[in-house]
Amino acid sequence: MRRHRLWSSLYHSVASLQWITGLALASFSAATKADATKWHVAGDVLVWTQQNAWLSVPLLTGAIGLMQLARAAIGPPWVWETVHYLLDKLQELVFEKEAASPLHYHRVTLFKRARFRLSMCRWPWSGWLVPVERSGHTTRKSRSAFLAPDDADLAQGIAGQTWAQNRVVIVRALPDIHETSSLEQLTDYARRTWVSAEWLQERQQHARSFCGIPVEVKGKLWGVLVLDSRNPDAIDENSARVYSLIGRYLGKLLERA
Amino acid sequence: MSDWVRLDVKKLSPATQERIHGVDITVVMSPYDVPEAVRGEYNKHLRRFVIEFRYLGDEPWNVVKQDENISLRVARHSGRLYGIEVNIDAMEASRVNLRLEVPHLVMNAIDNFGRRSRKPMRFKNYQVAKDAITQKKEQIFESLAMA
Repeated sequence: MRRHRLWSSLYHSVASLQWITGLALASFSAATKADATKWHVAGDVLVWTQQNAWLSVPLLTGAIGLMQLARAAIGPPWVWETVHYLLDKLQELVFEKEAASPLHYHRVTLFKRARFRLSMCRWPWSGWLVPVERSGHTTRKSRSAFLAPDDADLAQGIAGQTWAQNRVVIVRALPDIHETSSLEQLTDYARRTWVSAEWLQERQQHARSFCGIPVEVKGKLWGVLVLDSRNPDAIDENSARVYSLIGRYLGKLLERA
Repeated sequence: MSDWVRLDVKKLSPATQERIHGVDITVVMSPYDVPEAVRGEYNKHLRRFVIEFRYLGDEPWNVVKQDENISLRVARHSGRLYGIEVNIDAMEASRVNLRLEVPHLVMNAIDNFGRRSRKPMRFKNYQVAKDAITQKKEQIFESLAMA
C-alpha cells in the first residue's frame, strides 16, 4: 500500500529542491552579465561562475526538468488524500447496513495495474494489480498483489478476473476459512476466488464476499476497485451501482496522480 | 441546450449469472460502458440533429461518417458511442416523417457501425446505446418537431 507520509515528504522535498535549483539557475544566469572587476568581495566566485556557466546553466535546467518529472510521477499528496476520502465515502455507502461491525471487516481497495512489480516473486514482469489505496486506517500494510497478465486465463484473484474481463465481477457466500479449515474448504474457496490454497494459507483473515469493479482513466483501463466483506451476503449488484456516485471524481483525480 | 434525460442503468445492464473457469459468478457490465443519461436536440452551429450520451468517464471522440446523412461520435481510446449527428436539413421529409424516419435511420447506423467496428468488444456498448434510445425515444426526438 502506498506510504502516504514517505511519498508526501519526498514530494515536498523535491519541490523545495526545485525552488533552490531555480534560484541557483537565475543567479548563475545573472552572474554571466556582471562585471567581476567591480565586485571586491565576491569577485573570485563571480569569475568562477562565469567560467563554468556553459556547463552549470544547462545542468541546472536539466535538473529542474528531472525534478518536475519526479513530482509528476509521485503525484501531489492532496490527490491521494482525496482518493482515500472517496474510498471511505464509498465504504460508508456500500456497507451502510454493516455499520455495527468493525470497519476493517468491510473494505474498499484500489488496485493499480503495473507492468512490472519490484518484488521477489515469479514473473515480476507479467503485469500485476498492486494495492495503492484502501478505505479506513487499518489493514494498510497489505502487500497482496494479483497477477493480471496478457494471458487472461492466468489472471489471479477477484482483482485479476475483473481486469481480465473488464466487467463487474461479484462472488458471494464463500466458506468461512480459518486455521482449522479442511483442505476441501480451502480448495473450494481458492477455486472460487482464483487463488491457490497455498496463497490462502499464508494469510490469516479472508473475506466471504467480493465485488471487483474496473477503473478507467481517460477511457483506458487503469486498475480495479475491490469491495470485500466478512459478511457473505453484504455485497450484491447494488454495491457496484453505488460506485457511479464517486467514479467520475475518482477518474479525474487519478489523471493527476 | 436541452436537459439530460437520466437512464435506467439497471434495465440497460442487468446482472447475469455466468460460469467462468468453472466458477459461478454474477457479472454486470462495466459502469463505464453504460450511459448514465442521453439528450437530443438540433445544434444550430453544426446544423445537425445531435443525440449525445453521457458516461461515467470523459474521453475525446472522433466523428465517423456513416453515410451522407448520419455521422457517429466514437471515443478515441475505448471506441464507445458518444453521439449521433443527423443531417435533417438535407433530408427531404416533412416534420412528421422526420420523427418516424430519423429513429429508424439512427438504429440502422448503429447496427452497421457495430458490424464493421474494429473493436468487437464494444458491441455491447452499441447495443446498450440502442436500448437507451428506445428507452427515452419520446424525450430524445421531441425537439424534431420544432427543428
